[in-house]
Amino acid sequence: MSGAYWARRLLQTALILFIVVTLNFFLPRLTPGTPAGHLYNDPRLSPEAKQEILAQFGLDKPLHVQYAVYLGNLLRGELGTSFSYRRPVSEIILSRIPWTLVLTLSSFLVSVALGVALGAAAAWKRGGHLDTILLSASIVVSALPSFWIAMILTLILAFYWPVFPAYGMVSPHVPVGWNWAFIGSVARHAFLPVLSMCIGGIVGYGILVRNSMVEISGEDFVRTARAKGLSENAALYRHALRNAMLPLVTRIGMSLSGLVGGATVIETIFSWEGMGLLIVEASRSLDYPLMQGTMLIMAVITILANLCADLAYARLDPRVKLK
Amino acid sequence: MEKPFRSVVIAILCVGLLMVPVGAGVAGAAKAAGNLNLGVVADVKNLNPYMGYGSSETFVIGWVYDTLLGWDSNEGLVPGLADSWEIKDGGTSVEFKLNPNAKWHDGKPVTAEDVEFSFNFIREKRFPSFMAIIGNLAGAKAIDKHTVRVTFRSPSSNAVRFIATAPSILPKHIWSKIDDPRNYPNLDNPIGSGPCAVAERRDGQFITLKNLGNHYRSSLNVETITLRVLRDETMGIMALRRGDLDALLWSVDPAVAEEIDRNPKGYPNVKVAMAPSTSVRTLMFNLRRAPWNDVALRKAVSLAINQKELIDQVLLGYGSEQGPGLVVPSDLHYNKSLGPVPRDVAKAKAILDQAGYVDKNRDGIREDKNGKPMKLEILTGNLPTSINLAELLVYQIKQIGIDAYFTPLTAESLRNKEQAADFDAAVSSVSFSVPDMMFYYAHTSRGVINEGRVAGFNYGGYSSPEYDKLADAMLVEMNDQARIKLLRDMQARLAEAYYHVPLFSSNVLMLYRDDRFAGWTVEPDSCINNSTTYSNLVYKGGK
Amino acid sequence: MREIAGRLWRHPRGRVGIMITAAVIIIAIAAPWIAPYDPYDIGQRGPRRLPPGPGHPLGTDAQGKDILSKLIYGARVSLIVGITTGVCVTVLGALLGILAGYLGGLADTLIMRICDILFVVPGLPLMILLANYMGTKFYMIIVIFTMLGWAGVARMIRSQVLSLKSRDFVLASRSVGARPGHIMREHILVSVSPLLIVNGVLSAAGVMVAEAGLSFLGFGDPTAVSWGKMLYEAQSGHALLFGAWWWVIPPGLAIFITVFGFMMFGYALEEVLNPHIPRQSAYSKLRKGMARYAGIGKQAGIGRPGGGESVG
Repeated sequence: MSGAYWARRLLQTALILFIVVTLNFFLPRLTPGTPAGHLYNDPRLSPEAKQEILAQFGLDKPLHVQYAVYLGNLLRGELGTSFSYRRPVSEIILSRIPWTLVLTLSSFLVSVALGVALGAAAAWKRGGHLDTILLSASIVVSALPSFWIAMILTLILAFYWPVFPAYGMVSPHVPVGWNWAFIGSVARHAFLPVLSMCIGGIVGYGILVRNSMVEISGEDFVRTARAKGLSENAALYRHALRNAMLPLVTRIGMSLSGLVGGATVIETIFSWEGMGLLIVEASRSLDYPLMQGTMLIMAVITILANLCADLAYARLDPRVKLK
Repeated sequence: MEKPFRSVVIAILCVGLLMVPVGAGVAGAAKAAGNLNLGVVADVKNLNPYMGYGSSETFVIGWVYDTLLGWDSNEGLVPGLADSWEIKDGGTSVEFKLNPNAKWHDGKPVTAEDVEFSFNFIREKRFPSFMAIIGNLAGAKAIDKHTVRVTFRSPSSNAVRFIATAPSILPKHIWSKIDDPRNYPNLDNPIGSGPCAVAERRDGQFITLKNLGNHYRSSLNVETITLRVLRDETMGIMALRRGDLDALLWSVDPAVAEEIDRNPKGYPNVKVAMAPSTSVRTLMFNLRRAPWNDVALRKAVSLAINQKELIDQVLLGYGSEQGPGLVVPSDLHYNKSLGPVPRDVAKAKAILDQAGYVDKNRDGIREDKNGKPMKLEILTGNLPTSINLAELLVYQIKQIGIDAYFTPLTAESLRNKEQAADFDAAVSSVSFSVPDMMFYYAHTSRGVINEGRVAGFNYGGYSSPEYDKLADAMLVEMNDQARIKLLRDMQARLAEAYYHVPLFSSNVLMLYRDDRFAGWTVEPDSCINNSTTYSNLVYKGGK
Repeated sequence: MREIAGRLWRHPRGRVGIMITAAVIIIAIAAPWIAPYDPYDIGQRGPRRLPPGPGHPLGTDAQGKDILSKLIYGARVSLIVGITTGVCVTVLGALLGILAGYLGGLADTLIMRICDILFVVPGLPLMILLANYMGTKFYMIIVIFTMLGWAGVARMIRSQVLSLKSRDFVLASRSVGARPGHIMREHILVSVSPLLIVNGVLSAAGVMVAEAGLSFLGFGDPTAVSWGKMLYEAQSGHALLFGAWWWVIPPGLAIFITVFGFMMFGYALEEVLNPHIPRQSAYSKLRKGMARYAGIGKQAGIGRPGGGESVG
């Protein structure tokens, strides 16, 4: 990895960020409607009063002036104050991200762990029962919309047999903090959402690992390992699995960007107070600062995730040279 | 066991172990005795009494803070922080005498200085929620420890009602020290003079109010009130059915009410409270656009509308037909002679024939004066109920030979088009419970177009000099009876204009349980969520 | 063409794919004749919230419309949106990908930077904004999906083109003086067309799921009958409260079967058009390809073929 590569990469990233920030600013303002709608639409307001309200939200100045103010604030690290919460946007976002991460990280870890194990087991006995099941499952599961799975699961596990709570993140009156009651309550509430999300993930990673391992099991270096006297299992494990790492990491890298925003529909179904729900809410109430803040954070995280994925990929595959 | 299988088994075991705390999770804390659990769909984002506007926020603010007076649907203005009030100087000032026992939660007494501070605070800091009244508010002055006078620039009966019942009174010793009050969320231990204080709160989840038990006027019998925030209405109803909640503070889908009415055994102890609302859904015409400026045409369309069918299909029967005066019967100024007009398709057709809109080419659609087929585009919202309503309207209007069709829009787009006066007709709603609205929705000055946008809420451009005269007089009339007479005349005029054609008035439907608390009282508009209920509620015992 | 169709039919997955896809398309076209009721006709509404029974084999919805009829008519929206978007995304992506890959230089940089931005901007808020601004009629949905989805195809095509550029037949063509336009059309396009076709079919499948998700969130076409909208109505109509499983299961199954059919068709096409690729790696190739084209659904974070949401 040369310095020139990183310099170019940084420059590209900065440019992309700038364009995203600009889009971020103009797009919400293109939609019809005023953000202070509920205040603005009082029929008793005189035109002067309306102007004053707009001024209070900084919306009376011409667009390019607002833009300059917005950029200035961004450079200082300020994301503005939410119109509806009357609190700093950064504070609101920081309070919501951890909850989304509870869902996405759990789903991610379970998917990878079970997926890899399943895929390895399937590849070991190619053509065997597990293998066929996995192959068919992958196609079936990919065609199922995850939110439909969530609705079915809720119908069965929260309605007909009320085993798990159907909504919310934690039971009321449970003291917040690192104690078993709280963690247990959150875990109970997270079970259904995470289950809905990782069904597809497990199968997806499983297939990926299985295919990668099957692909190289006929390759030279495995045959060499066997010739050296290693058992088939050891050969498979040590070499094949490691080879599967590459596409695995690529896939993980692509999934990272979804860690923060990718659970929107699930959050809507289960009333989970995460980033996804925040974004939908902000878009609906035309809360400009909140909309801009959330979009920006998500874009930044995606860029960072891509960077990490590329880094990891380069590390793992010596054949790849980032020029 | 072979290695791969072993790893799979180990992986599954690990996951299984993780689920142990899942099963051992707390099943939900036992409900404290005397705690009223209410479900809401709106979050409490901030408790700033002058910035918070969501329904949950106003609920909490209403219990933590007091206003000078209250409003009772039968009696009008009733005492609040002030024991009595007197209108002086021809309506340009009001004098309030405060209750001497009122105290802030931190023990300090409430004085006239706090009231003076609050109103001048509103004026100086220009809070957007009160912008409508700031223009007319001249100031407030403490006359003595418990007497305060508020003055206006011009008399207005509604201004008195507004300043007496809307702004909470703030403690001067706390709020005078706050730098940026418009951006102050006030979520940490807000100090008010109301019956309750905030005991516990979790962002986006719940907020608990504690009855301090020492209020000078409130007769609240409940120990604590918890607002549970629910993002999904279905889950809320299920929680109510399970007994986790005592009532839901939003108007539920008529389908839910119908289900519970049909199947009470499936919902033990759950009751449906039904109250008339004070708003009327209407079809609003744009009087600036031909041929909709022809009153005969509008009258014909109004006769084609079958309110009963709309109520049955859209509201599942949970609504009532409305008269063309656009004021609901529960309002004090309702004009009794303007009841609902029954549908009459034959008469509608006759009016159209007489007015010259005939179907010459026999294709089922009448032609207008220029020979073109008559089309009516109805703008509407894009929610399922709005679409359903629009489909039915179009169906009914087609019966009299006008090719009606509807265009669904988002709420913002719809308002945009209304403000640009770019529509034939639109599904709208009016609420004339606060009488001043009859001025803002129909006075000529509120329909004038400035720079491509309608100045006020008179989107359709209704203009009648006689109506304007009545409306101007009504705004400044301080005598109740005289004002009511003016309002009734105005309703009669509106009825003849067919500007807003009434479609129905829906009922407010709220669900509650009757096993833990008794005393739920239903009132128009607020349904069970009114001060009478909370004064009457008693804890019956039980979990 | 004949030969390909024949090979597809003999291919086990291909046969299943063709049958299902054809069945769904026929149902969609023949809707007015096979549906027992017309869900758009107010006069044909029955009693509300009926469970499956005589007269209404799948019951009725909250307004009394027959569910089976809605299911049949719903195929139209899903298919039109899915297929049209699949075609548009593939065409646009191919065009820009070929231009970027073959012409290089400024065109390449410009197009690739736009792709980068599209990948980075969070899709769902963008879609909500665009829906608010442009309206949610189904042709607008097609436009929005196309705008957000061509980037994945373009990238994939571009890398193919880059490797093709230095191949013999292209170099030979250039040495005889063929113009770039000619080369791009006759040689490059022809070479990547199998990839495009397969991609188009699989894209269509992905878009169907994404459209269902968008409708489910309430941003679909408010007047059209679509499977996603049926699920939205189920959720907001308190299906879970009434235990109205007949509102939830049929639309989801319909989405599943249709997408399944398209995917089978796509996989089989891939193997038939490129017979020299060993079967297993076809899967892994497709996985990678799907992950890119399914940028549409992934952008929205609302579910795509490949299962799950952000993970997997």
